[in-house]
Amino acid sequence: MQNTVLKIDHVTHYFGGLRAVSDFNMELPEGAIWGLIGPNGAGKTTIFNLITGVYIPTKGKIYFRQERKFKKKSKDKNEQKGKKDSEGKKEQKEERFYMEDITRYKPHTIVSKGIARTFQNLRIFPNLTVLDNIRIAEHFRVKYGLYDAVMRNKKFKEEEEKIKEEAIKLLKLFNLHSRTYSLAKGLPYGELRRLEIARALATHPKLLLLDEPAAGMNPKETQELMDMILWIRKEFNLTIFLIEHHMKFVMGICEHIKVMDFGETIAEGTPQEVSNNPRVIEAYLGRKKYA
Amino acid sequence: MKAKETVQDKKIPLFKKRDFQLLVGTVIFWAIFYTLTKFGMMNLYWMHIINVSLIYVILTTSLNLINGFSGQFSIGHMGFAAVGAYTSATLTTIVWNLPSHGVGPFSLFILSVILGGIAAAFIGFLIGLPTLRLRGDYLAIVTLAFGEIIRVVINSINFVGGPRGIPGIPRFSSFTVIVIFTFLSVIVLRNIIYSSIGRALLSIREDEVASELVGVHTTYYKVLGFTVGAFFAGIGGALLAHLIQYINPLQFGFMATIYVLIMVYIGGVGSLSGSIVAAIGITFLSEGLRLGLDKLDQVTPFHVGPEWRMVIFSVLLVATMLYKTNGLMGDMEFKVLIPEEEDENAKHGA
Ligand SMILES: Nc1ncnc2c1ncn2[C@@H]1O[C@H](COP(=O)(O)OP(=O)(O)OP(=O)(O)O)[C@@H](O)[C@H]1O
Ligand SMILES: [Mg+2]
Repeated sequence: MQNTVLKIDHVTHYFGGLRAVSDFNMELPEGAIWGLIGPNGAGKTTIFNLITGVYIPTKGKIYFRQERKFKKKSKDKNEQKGKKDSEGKKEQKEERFYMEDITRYKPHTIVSKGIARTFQNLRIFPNLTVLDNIRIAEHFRVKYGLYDAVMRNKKFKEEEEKIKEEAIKLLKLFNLHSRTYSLAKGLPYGELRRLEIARALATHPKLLLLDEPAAGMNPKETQELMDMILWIRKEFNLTIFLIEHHMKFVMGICEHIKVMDFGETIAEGTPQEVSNNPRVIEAYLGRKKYA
Repeated sequence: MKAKETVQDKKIPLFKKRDFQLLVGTVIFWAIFYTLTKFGMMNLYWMHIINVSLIYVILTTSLNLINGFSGQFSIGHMGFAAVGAYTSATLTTIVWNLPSHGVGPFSLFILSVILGGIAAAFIGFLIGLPTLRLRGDYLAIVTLAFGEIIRVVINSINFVGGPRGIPGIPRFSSFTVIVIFTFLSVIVLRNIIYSSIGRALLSIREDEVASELVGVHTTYYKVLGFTVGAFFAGIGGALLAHLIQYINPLQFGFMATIYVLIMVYIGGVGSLSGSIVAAIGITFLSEGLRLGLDKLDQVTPFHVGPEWRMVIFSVLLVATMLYKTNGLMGDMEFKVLIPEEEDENAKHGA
């Protein structure tokens, strides 16, 4: 059995009288790539906004898998041993995790718990450099305070160097290294998309939410993006949940797909199952193709 | 493996270090005017204007932290200066009744300035906490109201002279004291800006939602930035009180804040260097205009009083906005104000 990373439990959300999400349920397994599709206005982005704390659901709860804090000290040792002894320790390992109710948490708290996201309409910091875009996402892990910053002491300098090194490493991975000191607003669209994903990863997430990552990309870029998503999942040990209109993309990359329409979950399953589901064809593919 | 590319400050000779250059520059500036005054070669009136302009550097840079760097819109900055001024002047003049000389009284004066800053910061915190939680322009409305309320409150407190103000404040704010405080204020603000805290503030200005969603506790940092800004406004007010030796509630009204706001926006939103240049430049321009307008008043049949200065500044502001949208300096800094480590990352002017 796989561990569940994110559990969405009977979530309903209203905007005034509009029911944007209706009784949404999901148990997202660790390491998976799942997709969320549906016509415009189906409520997909709203699901992301609910997970990340931008909105608090009208009804229902959202849980995220967490490691118990008080055992953290022995964690590293255990993990090393665990790898050596392999399966023997597995039961103990299970106990270290629990599902934390994150329903009412503020967005920045949820980020620090390990959920990062990108946005449907790019939201980078335009007048800051590429480096600063990344460093801001590392901000909550910085260990110095106001006093250290004012004094520019050793602690400050060490932390700053660490943060910068890490940021540059990330930029190299995403082939944005040559842009380190450029203002973000000067970057071409494709690079901005990459920067946004890199910035999300700078928060060290366990779960990455991608809202229409392939929007505005040509077929070649889309293919590259697919490869990249598969690669970052492995490289950063991620679970990924993504929204995408691009059917080839979703079908090609997701192991499991949820389909929404008017806030309702109308179908879910493997790409095969979903694409053969008559309701999906009618509600989504049909309308999209023939409307 | 390649050697580390980062600039280690150990390798830079001392005289090339920017902080050192900044310090030396400040000392030279101080030494020149100090000597000139000592030997009676400096017009005391203009010396006074220099002092005032340096205090405005503190007021302007600290307002820029709030309005420029973190993208909030406070229009009650002089209200905080009033808190600082009244706190320190009440202590030195009314409570302790200090003479204007001696080491003991001087230390108490320094203490009173710090306490003035802390009092202003505390009030700033109280105002910022509920207000900055909300997005939008609530801060403008609340700080505007605060600026007026603080005046009314001071007006009604007999202990601090009510509308008559506090006269006879000992003149502790010497040129030397003001230079030191200005230098330290600018350095502290600079250090905050070029840190993770400063970057958090900038990200809030750029896109508050995105900032929150990459892990920045936006409310906390908005309140922090606002509180720090209020602290330095309080320091500025306290120094001003002990320079002009007389304070009353009217000095800290809305127009006074507008004056500082104009300095921030003409100098450049998000540029400490711009604030420094504008604070000094506009203080001098203002004095020049006052003298000029007085002359004009005498030679022309109609009345052209000093109140016309505000009109001229407004025109100046509009002109700046039209021709240099982001103020004189934009968000560029003098190189000497940028820490070496941030060289490539920061924008600098000539
Ligand atoms: N803040 C809001 N206030 C009011 N209504 C909203 C708000 N955000 C979204 N909605 C409405 O909720 C519904 C779902 O919107 P959502 O953005 O989740 O759709 P979506 O599935 O992401 O669509 P798209 O494919 O166009 O991105 C829409 O009808 C939208 O108009
Ligand atoms: Mg959407």
